[in-house]
Amino acid sequence: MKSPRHTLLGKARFFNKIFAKNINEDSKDRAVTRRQLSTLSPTKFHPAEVEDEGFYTVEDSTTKIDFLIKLPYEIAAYILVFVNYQTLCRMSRVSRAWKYISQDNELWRSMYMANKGWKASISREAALAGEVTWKDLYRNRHVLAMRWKKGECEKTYLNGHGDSVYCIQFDEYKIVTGSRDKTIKFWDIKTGECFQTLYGHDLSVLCLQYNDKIMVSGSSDKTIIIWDMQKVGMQKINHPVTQLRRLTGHTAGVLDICFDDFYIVSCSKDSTIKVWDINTGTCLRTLTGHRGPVNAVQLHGNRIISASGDALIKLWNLESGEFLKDFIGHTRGLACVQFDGKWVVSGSNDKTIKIWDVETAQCVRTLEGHTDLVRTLHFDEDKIVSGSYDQTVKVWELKTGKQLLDFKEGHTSWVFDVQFSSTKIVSTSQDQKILVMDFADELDTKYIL
Amino acid sequence: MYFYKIDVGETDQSIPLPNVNEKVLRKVLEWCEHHVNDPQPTNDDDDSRRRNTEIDDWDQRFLNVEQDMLFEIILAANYLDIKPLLDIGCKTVANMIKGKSPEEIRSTFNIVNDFTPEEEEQIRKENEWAEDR
Repeated sequence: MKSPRHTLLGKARFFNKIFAKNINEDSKDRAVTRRQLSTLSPTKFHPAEVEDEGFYTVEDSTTKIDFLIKLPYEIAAYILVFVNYQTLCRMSRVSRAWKYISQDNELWRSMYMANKGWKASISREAALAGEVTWKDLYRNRHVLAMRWKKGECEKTYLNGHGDSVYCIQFDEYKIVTGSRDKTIKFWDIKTGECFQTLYGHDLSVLCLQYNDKIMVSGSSDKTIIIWDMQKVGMQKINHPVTQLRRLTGHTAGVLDICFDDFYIVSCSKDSTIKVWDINTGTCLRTLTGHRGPVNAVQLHGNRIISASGDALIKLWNLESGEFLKDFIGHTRGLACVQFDGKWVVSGSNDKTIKIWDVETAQCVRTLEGHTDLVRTLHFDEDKIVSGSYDQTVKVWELKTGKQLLDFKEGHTSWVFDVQFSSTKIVSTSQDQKILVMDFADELDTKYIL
Repeated sequence: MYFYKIDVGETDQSIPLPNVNEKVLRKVLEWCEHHVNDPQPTNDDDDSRRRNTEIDDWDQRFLNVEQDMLFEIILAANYLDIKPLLDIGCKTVANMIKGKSPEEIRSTFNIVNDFTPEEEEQIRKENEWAEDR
């Protein structure tokens, strides 16, 4: 952002036009700026006069000056750079002129952007059309942050699966779930209505991942199905999702899958990890080394991270299939793992969550609080959300490991999967329910990411 | 209109200072003399300036003046393009606003409340969110 001294110059003219008259009958009483000076004859300006105007009362011994009105607009606006949102809001209640200055759109935009982790998605058209009122956007984002802090959310259950719900992924429009009832269901995230059910697997659907082109699901039936998502697009599907290909090769249930633009990586109860060509469906290589079922796998760049019932996390090279290192520390089998390129976060049957530095393979922090196996977790740059067989969903601060929130009443049985966004946490459970916790209930989050 | 002779390095020339009176200029020069050995200010972006609203003790005492003097120091700092002085001047005003209720702000700067009671209530409601922390 440029200094407000420059960006707000256009505003200054408008401001003077509407307010200078109210404040002083003679608008040239407003102090001149350096820029304007060249156009004025020096004799027209007498600094001493400044002391004579204003509204100070006679009985008051000290001079009082309405700085925001008397200073050139760009300096007045510059003062606002040094106050926070709360002060700005109070300032807007002082007078009409103060309200005008303290609602400066550019100022609120830069304040929004200065908040770490506050992202916004503004289309070029919306920005150019000046549709975005940044103070409103700031307010909504602030209220959202406060609700996360306090754990205030609207809880909704999606009912429809006839058995345990093992896996979930959601986006702005839909929630996709896989169940022990062998089906995959698509739900409208706004109405909670199930609008499509996919049949294809012969046993439990244990894992799934989708993007706007394909969905990949893994099952206890030992197979992986690639589904065509092209017709789904961003909106609700009216077109049926069809099967593109079925991958066979694992000799036991497929427990987790992960894919990028080129490869599908799957892991199985058969203790192996397989890398598949996403276009041809060919199994390119099988990674062996784990001594127990491989419960979770994640792909990042050229590296694969895997977590197994053998209590180890292993790092592998995707292209070569080479084993790189073990992460040793959990005392019992692992159930889940996520990797963002720098941090590895894992959940285990030893009831803890561990954060690891991928470069050193050292555990940097152990999070204790769950009273049973940590079955699932999802993290971003700020927080970790975890779900456990203790039936709770907990939120932790990534940086400090501090427990922030604890949802104890959400499920009545084991929690199997959890995912969150800036506005929601969605979790699934053995209780056959999908729980949507919405922190943005009745908030306009159109531009908030 | 005042003219002051300021040493501007190699050349000795007069700079016209039409909107800085003598009293204010003496204050500004006092500040400059005190800070003559300060390191060059770094090109901080706005964000880091916003985080740093602290003013060092000497500057605080220096700016502990009547509002009209503070006002003119800010104008002079802007006119003479003395960024660090402009910053602490603006920060001083910001600090006079911080932590105050709207009524206290009005009283501090002798501002007339030109809202109708209905408008005032509506604006209070619109800004209620900021009081929840």
